Amino acid sequence: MKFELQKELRYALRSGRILILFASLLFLALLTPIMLKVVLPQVLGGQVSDLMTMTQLDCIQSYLGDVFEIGGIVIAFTLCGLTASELQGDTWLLPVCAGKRFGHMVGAKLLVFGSLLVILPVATLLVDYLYSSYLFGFQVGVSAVLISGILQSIYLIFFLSCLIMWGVLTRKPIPTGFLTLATAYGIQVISSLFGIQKWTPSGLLTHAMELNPILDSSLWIPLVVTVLLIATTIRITTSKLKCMEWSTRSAQ
Amino acid sequence: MGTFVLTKDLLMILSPLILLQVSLVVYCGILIFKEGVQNLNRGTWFLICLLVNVIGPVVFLLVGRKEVQ
Repeated sequence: MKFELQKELRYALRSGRILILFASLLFLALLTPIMLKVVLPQVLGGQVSDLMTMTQLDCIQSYLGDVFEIGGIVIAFTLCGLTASELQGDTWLLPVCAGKRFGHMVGAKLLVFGSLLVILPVATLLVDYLYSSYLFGFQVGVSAVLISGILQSIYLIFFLSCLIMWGVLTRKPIPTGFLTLATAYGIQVISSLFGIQKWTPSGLLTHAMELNPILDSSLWIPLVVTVLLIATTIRITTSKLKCMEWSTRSAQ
Repeated sequence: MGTFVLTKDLLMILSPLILLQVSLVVYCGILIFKEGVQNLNRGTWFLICLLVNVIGPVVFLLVGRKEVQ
């Protein structure tokens, strides 16, 4: 497992995936307070902008929404080749022949990129928190922001597990990105329409948006559902990998 | 819609974004002229990185960077 982790970490650093994710999330974190403080009043004009008073809370909520909508697209197309490219390029052939276990290979990807998807969103959320406090003043406690960041990160780990699963099922990077986005946005739309957000991973985002400094009991249901869904996607991924024919090369 | 005047305060507010863009352009510029590119030529990629704010460098890193072997 140690070697798989080292390989994934080296790939993340050398391919610039970490930089892409960090730059994109940091851009959103810095842009949102500027948009609400400078651009929005200019666009709306004097009287209308006087009616709308933006706060730090609005700013952080807007950033969290942006990470789901725009950040999701960036994450999907940055990490869409995570498993699909490996299968397309037959680069998993040697580790498989060397007797490496699929669970370890998939687990290493989930661990390395999952850690990244915890560290980067929390770090950029803190940047957004500090920058919005500079522009709007302190209104929200840092504990509420940290809890929201961690909830969002758990949702992003579910997003990553979908990317890994669709990558193995389709073996093509771009369709993997689109299918993952369809899954994430589909769950969000359906759960909003039927009012079942409490029972889906979208419930984590709803809780994150509330910026509540205390963890209430209603959080357990979306948390357990998300963890179960992550386990299911990983199970599907490893089952599919075990059923694959590894002795033939893919069509060029 | 009000007129947009670039004041010293506004420049201060925008400075983190400008810093992010400049550092990404410098990093991508080094990659473009040192490692090489794919899909488009070096000049076009550098112009994309220079002119398209943040999205340009991100697109270059995703599809324009010469693949690491």
